[in-house]
Amino acid sequence: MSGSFAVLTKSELRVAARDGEQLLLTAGLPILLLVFFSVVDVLPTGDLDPVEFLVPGVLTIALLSSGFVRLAIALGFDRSFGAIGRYAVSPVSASTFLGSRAAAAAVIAVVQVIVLFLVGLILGWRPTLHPLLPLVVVLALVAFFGLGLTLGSVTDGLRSLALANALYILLLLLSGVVFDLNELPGWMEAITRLLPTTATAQLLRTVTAGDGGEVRDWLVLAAWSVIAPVAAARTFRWR
Amino acid sequence: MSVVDVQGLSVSYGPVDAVADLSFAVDAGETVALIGANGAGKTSTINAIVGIVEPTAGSVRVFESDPAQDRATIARRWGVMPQAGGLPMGLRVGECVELFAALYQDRVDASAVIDGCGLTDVRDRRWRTLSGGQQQRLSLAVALVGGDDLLILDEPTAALDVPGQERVLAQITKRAGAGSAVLLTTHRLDEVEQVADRVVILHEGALVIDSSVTALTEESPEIRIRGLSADQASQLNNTLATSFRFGPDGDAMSSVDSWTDPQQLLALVLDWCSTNDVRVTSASVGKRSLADAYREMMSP
Repeated sequence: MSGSFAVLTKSELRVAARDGEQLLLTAGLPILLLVFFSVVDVLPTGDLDPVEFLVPGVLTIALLSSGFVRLAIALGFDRSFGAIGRYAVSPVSASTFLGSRAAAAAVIAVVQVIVLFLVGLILGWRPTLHPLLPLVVVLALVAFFGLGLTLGSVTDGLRSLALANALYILLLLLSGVVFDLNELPGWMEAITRLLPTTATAQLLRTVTAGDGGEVRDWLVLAAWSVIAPVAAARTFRWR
Repeated sequence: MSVVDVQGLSVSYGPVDAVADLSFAVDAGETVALIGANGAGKTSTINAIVGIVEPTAGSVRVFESDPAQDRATIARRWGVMPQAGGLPMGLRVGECVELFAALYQDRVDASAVIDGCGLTDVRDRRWRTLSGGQQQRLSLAVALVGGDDLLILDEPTAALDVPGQERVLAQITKRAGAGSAVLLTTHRLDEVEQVADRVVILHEGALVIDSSVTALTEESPEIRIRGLSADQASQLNNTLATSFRFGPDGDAMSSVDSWTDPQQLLALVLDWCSTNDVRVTSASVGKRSLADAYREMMSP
């Protein structure tokens, strides 16, 4: 790990730790959703116990919020407040800069996953973990990082804030995160099956139930984990 | 070989030509000021030099390399203060300077720079809570922990009070004295006279003059008269072929050609005043200020 990469990652984590509102959205909201809907049985979760259904979905929300939402907003505001322009004239390369942002987000995401696992266990979740679980998390994070960095590269400040949160809510609603995908009309389900959040939620649901998951979901997630970072690399600009 | 070498540079933003066929150079140990009105192309020139804007035509070489291609490598040798240079949200003053010092392998003692820029008292405050002038000095501090072969400052004193300006000028002088090449943009011509060896004057993106400050000031004396009316100045200009015009303080000033003895011309002017019963309050021969030289060049 290069010196600049470590320095930037540490600085980004420091900034993240001080951003109370964003931390609440990133870390607090998924826990709140998990606890509330596990205790209040109002979601159409099919035959599954609410907590069995919810934990993988909320894990998806957590990965999306720290991987996509926070990254997009932070990058957008850094552009608005001139920090990107400052890095642009420093010896930092674009790959080191974007990589450090992703690394800091990965640290936050991993802490979130651990906390949500613990909260889930306290609420009665009894997973059977499949060895492919870490791969789902890694692919999902890479895809969400790519999407977050792309949005943060093509928008600035308030626009990135509005768009990231709007997409967050949309993906949360459409991806079978808080209700079963079978509740959607057939044509809508077919479309949502192509979303990275749907693939992540479905795979997390299966790998935490001891199964390897469907090939279609793996292919969708793998495709997003390639396309999104390439889009980020192509759209990032120093101005 | 020059540290910065700009040859035939043009920068366009769509149909707008910000810089047109500009050439100049900055050598090691030399301080060059880019001056011109708002929109003259100063910041576009700086942006092309630091590699964040691609020239439409011409070339820019910094340390003999193309900054658009080798920016990250060249950047190890320069410190840059961008005009709109913000910093990462949420960081404190000390953390900002230490962060950028670390990106340059802690070549410079961050604490010494913070102190030199008068920021020790606000070191633990978040940078966004600083006043405009303090943010400006922080921006300079971040540039000063960069590479020490070239210092590029885009309007470094724009929002500063007098002590702040003096601090910044002292830092520039110190860096130039240590052998750095310095390129700055500013609207404060008195500062340019204090710190710059050369000026590159731009107008609507094009070069007006690339000259030493001395050639524009000390080597170009002027006659300054207080108490002259506009009509009287006009008559003098017609009679003695002088070039009297009025400065912002109301004084009438006329440049003196290099082949004319300024004292002799002053004697002729005073003689004309006496003959025509024109009572002037004061009259003197002195070096022309850069501001006067600039106004003269820019007057239609």
